[in-house]
Amino acid sequence: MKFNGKVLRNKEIAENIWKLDINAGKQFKSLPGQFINVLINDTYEPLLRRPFSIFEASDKKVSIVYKVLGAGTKALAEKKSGDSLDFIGPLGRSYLEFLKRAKNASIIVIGGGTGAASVHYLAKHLRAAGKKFVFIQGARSACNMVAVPEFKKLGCSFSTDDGSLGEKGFVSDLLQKKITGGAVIFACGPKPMFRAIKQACANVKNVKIYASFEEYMGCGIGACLSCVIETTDGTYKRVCKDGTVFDLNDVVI
Amino acid sequence: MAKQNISTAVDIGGLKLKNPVMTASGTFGYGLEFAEYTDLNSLGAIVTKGLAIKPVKGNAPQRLVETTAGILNAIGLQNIGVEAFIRDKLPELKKYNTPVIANIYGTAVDEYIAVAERLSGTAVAAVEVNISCPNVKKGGLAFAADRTAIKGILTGVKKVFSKPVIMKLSPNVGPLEDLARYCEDNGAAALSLINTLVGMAIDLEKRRPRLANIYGGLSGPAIKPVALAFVHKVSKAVKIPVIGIGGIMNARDALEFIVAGASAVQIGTANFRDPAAAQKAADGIAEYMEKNKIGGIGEIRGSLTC
Repeated sequence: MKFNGKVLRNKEIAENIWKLDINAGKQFKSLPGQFINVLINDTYEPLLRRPFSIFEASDKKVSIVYKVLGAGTKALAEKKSGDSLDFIGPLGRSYLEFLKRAKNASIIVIGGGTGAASVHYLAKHLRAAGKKFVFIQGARSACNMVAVPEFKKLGCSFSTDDGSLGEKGFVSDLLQKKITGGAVIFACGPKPMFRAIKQACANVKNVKIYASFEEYMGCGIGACLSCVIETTDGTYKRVCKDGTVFDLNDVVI
Repeated sequence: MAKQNISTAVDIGGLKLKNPVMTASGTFGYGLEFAEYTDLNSLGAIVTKGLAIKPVKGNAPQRLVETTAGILNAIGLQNIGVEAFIRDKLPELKKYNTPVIANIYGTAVDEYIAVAERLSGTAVAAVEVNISCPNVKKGGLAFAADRTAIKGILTGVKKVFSKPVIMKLSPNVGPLEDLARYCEDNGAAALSLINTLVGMAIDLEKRRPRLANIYGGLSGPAIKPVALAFVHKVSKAVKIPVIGIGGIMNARDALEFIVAGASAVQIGTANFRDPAAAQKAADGIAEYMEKNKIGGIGEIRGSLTC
């Protein structure tokens, strides 16, 4: 669905990392793991919409957390409260589709870098549903860590490459201490993190890993076939429509 | 959109469209992806993603990158194949009151003909022959200026497919007037132009191309002036209708192409930015005609004063 939203608040919450709260103007129903595709402005720079995972959403409000990287996010960071914002969403499949299959398994939620946004939404959902879960968040350094207070509220443990927040090391090191057989892992972050998680679970029985991927999107609605990921059956699947969440066993990383 | 006193209808080589706005192949999926965001009934025609005789995997990612006022793509014609299209997509598309034009593609002349033959007798209203994709090794651009191949494809397709056959031409092979006349002489019902321009984008830090395919096809507002010049020249050189394509973002852009000589237009990259872009362009054309008391598209087509 298309929304003509308004910016409620747009603020830098960590080094180069911003949180944007949007009033969608009408009821916005979404699930953890889904994303919105935002039209940054009405000129042709940038030309394409930019996709962002939903950090949290309720009623008419939807929030995203983004890192200022290129022209699109730079322009987005200039948005002020009251500015209008056209976006499409919610898009993509939710983690919850896979959670249904997990039933009584122990749940581990892992975020890395700005991939933290979508797992935050998931963790909030799990907490509200009264489910127990282990929550791990990693970044290079404390200053790159997204929304620390919000994550702390959800019982999150942290790891940083330089040890400036939480344990020194990677999320996979922390995971190794907490993983048990039969666990279900939900993760969002860069591909090397997924590889490390897979390796950390290699000798643990019956672990399922569901990961939300990020690839360069053109349309966000499954038409342009830009954001594809190779699957183990040799075909390409669309991250925007067939994902963004995939069973790690089904994709080539 | 038909309103009082004006008619936006056009005739493209026997194919009657309620308005001159189509969607460009490769930018509108199989149409159905857009049904949630736009009224498919409002479009002049839906042109599908390029269809091959068998499913095509496509190129390795990264397949697309935004450049200044444009995008560069090297999808590599990933498609579900003509069988799956007829089985899974066409029955759904048939529910809309909008003609479906199948863009077809092959790696050899026989493959083009085989796809067209399979589409014969289906609800597909016309085929658009892609001899101009810059992103595949075989077929595509290799055929763009190969007259023997073009003649083989055109005559072969026309034998097995009785509805209009549209040829989609590449801007990457030099001036198109002669080639356009050649297509006309060999029975093309209409010409679509331009396909994307070969380009590349570089990641300076890594000193690597941004696309895995190294080169891609440039589209979007950046190419509109180039496309207008091609459409203007070709439409003067042939009698068959020219379908203008290249960076059309709205009704005004579309009207510029019509004034330059196009009988219809295709909206491409704009669909990614706004899934309702084609519908809005069609509505905008009708509004412009009403406001300026233009009774039919023919009154402004090729009306450019030089």
